[in-house]
Amino acid sequence: MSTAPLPPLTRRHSRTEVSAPWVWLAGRSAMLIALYYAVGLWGFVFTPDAYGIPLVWPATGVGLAFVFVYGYRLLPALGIAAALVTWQFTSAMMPLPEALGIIVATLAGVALGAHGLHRFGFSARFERLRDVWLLFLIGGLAVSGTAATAGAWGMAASMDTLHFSDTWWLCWMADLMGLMLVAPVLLTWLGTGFTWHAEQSHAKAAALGFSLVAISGVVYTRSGICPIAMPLSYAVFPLVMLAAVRCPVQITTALTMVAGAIALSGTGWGMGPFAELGLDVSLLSLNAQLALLVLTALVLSALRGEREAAEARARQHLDELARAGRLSTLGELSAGLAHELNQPLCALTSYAQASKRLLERGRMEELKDALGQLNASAHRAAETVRQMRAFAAGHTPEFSSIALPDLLRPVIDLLGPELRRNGVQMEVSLPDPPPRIRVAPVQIEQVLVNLLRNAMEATEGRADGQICLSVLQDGTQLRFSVTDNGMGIPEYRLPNLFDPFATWKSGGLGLGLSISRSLVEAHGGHLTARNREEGGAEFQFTLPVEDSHART
Amino acid sequence: MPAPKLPHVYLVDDDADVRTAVSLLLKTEDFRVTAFADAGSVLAAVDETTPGCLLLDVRLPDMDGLTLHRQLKAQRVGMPVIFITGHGDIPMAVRAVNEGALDFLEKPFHDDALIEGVRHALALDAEQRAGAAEMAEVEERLVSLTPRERQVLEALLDGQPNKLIARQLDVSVRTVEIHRGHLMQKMGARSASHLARLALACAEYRDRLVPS
Repeated sequence: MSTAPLPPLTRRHSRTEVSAPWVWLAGRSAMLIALYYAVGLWGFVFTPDAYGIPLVWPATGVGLAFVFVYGYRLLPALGIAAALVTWQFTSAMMPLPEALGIIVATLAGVALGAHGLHRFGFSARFERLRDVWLLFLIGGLAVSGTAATAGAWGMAASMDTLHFSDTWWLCWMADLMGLMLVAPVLLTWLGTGFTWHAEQSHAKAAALGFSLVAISGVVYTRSGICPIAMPLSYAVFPLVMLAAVRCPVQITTALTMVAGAIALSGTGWGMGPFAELGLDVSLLSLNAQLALLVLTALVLSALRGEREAAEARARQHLDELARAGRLSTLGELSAGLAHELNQPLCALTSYAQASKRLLERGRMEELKDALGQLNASAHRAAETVRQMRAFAAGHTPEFSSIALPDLLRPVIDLLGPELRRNGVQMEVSLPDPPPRIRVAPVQIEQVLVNLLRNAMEATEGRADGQICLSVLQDGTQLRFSVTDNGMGIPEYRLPNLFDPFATWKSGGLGLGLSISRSLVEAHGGHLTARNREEGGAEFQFTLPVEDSHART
Repeated sequence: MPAPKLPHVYLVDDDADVRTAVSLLLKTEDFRVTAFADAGSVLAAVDETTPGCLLLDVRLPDMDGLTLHRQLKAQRVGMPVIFITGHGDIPMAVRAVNEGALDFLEKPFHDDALIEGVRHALALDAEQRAGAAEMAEVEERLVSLTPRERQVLEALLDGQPNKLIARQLDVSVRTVEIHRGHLMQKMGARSASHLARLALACAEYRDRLVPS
């Protein structure tokens, strides 16, 4: 056998492992140059003759996204791309020093912008509002500001007709608009992993995309005056908003870009509701509308991200609190469980010692039996340990589909010693046939252990203590009920029974019922308590049967 | 009365696995073992004539081991008791020993400790049983004495010489000697000191001989 050393595993740069670093760099550089050149070509469509400068300039945004995602290694490629575009479109009217200045300014602006985004912790997932503001601020100030200054300076130097401040303003608008249109798409597609959540369907995204293209197509492919074209141009807003709330951010940014590209292209070629105002005015007002569209989409995405993060935090807190509750319960059950563990250990050592003696006496047949039984005892001890560990379980409990008896068995096993010691009878009744249920088993077990232990404590001191766990199926609901024939709940305690720290027992934090209610509610159910007319208390909760999503 | 039984180790534990394992361990040392799952069944199975010893778990499904021990004593079951526990419950151990338990073993126990304990308990039981048998015989012999012989016996146990006894009973010394000869024979005593030791086995005379 040969043992070749395994290559070190690195997760972060898995992409670079596929091919040699220079191949990767060449590939990304080529992508950047091609894309930069393509959007540059497109941008020059929007060049009114009066100005000679494009009114939409997405190329800088492409550079910013690539350099932010792939690092400063891409700057040389950006330089080449900028040089190509400058040479292609402005060589006729701009002297070489100015052209060089524009290229250098583009590189500096992009580098500064990428640095700023990294420095302030910008995340391309747009899950926080600060990511949106950061992109607008840094994009507008560092990237577009630098590019516009260089551009305006170059233009003003080459064409006498333009005033520096007017040119700067137009360049800045064009650059920032272009950046806002392409940078979010590239940042989200290149810089983040793509994850669909359970509730998001591909069909929904496809339908949204289709509607958006259809509406934009209708609005921006008509020339001449159409009275409803202008109001109809706002129809993209609800679609993009819906996408922001329901779809991954990559879909939202892509839809925004498609809508923007159709609107700008149509207007640039003289079609659509903005076209009749003349290219410069029309593009500026369309730019304003598209800026609002992008802002709306990103802000909504960020708000959804923040809400989801808050929900995840709340859920994590509940999970942690629940685990703390389970550990505390386990601590309270530990005396009984230690006994439960000690019995098989005692049997195990006795079998081992007997085996030794049988071996010394050469009684091999009996020795074989003893060893077999020893093994069984060891497994029994291991099973007890497994139960305890399963109950303590991890911080993030998994949802799974489970048959009702399998859900209840660990609860009954765990409480068995305690029930026997207290001489309490427990009756269990289940629907026939027992249904399956989709829950985080460890959490529902925790609720049941909590309620059953409360019931057991309520019957303490009674010779005829009896508790009953019954499950009834009621349509799509399962109704769990835990009853006891104990002392009942003091009437004054009923209204705030589930509040945290509201305990009337000694030696408890009073979190059990509060955690139980939260756990049941996290499963889409409801936990209630009442005193029974025939004496004792009843706790009830409902859970939906299989196939419903408790956590959204 | 049931036929004389051989001494057994009576094991009471609610856990089947523990019962089988401990029984097996004791059987490797050729002890006879009978196991019970609860207090009720052992109470029904043994009486004061049962020879052997008891191995009781302190925690049983129907009552705790200490209560079982009290009930056994109330049934005049005098077999030595060794408690076994899974809890290392020191106060309970102290209480059990105070109430007359022979020993207290903590689960899981060492085989030598268990076997030595059981061996000791069975020896003690045999000794007690032999003592009891002797006592029963002495009592039987005492019954066969005539009232006069009793009087002489009691005077002898008080350490009085024949002359003094004769004066007290208002008979001749010779008569006392004859009574004394008869009662020594009936009691099977070889000497005055042997007679005193036999009488010591009998509750009736223990107080007279042992100053309180």
